[in-house]
Amino acid sequence: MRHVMGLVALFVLSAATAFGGELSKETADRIQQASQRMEKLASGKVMEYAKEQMEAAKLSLLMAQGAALSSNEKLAQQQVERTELQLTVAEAKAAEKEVTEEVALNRAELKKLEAQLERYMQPEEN
Amino acid sequence: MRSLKIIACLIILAAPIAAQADEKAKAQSQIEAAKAAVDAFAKKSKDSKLVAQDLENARAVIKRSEEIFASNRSMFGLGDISPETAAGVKHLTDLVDMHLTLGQSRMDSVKAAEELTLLSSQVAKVRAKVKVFEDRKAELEKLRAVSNKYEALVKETEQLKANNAQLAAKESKLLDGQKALSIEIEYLKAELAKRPALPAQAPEAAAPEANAPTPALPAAATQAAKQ
Repeated sequence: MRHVMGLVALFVLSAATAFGGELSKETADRIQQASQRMEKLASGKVMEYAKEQMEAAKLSLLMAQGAALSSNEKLAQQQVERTELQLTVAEAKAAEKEVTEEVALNRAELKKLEAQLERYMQPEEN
Repeated sequence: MRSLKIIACLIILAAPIAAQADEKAKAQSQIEAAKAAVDAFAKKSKDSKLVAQDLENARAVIKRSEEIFASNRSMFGLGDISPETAAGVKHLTDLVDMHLTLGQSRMDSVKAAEELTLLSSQVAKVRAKVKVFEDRKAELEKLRAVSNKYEALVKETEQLKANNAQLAAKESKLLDGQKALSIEIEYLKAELAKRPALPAQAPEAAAPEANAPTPALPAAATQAAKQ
């Protein structure tokens, strides 16, 4: 993760030298909203069920924030758009995984109950 | 030698063009791959309403990528594309992939939810059946306990009956003995009454002799006394 952060910092610095200018309020707001959404999701089940997607979204958000710092509007927009979609994917994946887990639990429960029923259905020995 | 130099110069001049053309072809193939993926997903999902929005979003993103690609080509579309454009196309085709992943996840979630509903219903049915057996088992245990208690009571009653019969037999014997004794007492009383009163001065004469024969008792009284 540290290597990635280093790369991001390097990327941001190079982008800062390559670009310049003002960051629009709209993009800044989007980044802030994405950040808040990320915080909210990270504290819930989404982080547990869709860690990979959340990590990817975190990286994109970092890049968006870095681009915002260097006032690279285009890159910031791209990265925040990516972050938003990655967060949505993470939410969907988490919901899917939660249901899949419940399915697995129910399947195990059914198997256990069927075995129990089978035992009851068998004639008693004495 | 001259021709070799010319060829070398041509290669050196053409190399950057080829590299950029490669980037252009790459971007183009990324867009084509994204389009194919969207079409395949639409076919797979049978244009389900569930993923209609995702498909629409993915197609919109493809359109954006095509626009970027088209607007950044020089020389009437024959020239190269800038690295920035290539990165933009890459970014947008990545977004297309994400929209498709999102759609697939929605479909999988719905499928899993349907399976869950089915499984929950099956679990409830089997659980109800198991409960019937468990209730019967509990009832059977109760009945067994009652039955064991009853059996113990029956044994105890039988024991008491046997004791009672023994006691009744003893009582009967005792009553018979008592009856015989009563008859003997009555007989002796009668015998005593028949004898004249003896004088008090001659007790020896009054006492019966040891060898003197006992007056005959009624047969029933004698038998009862023996018993």
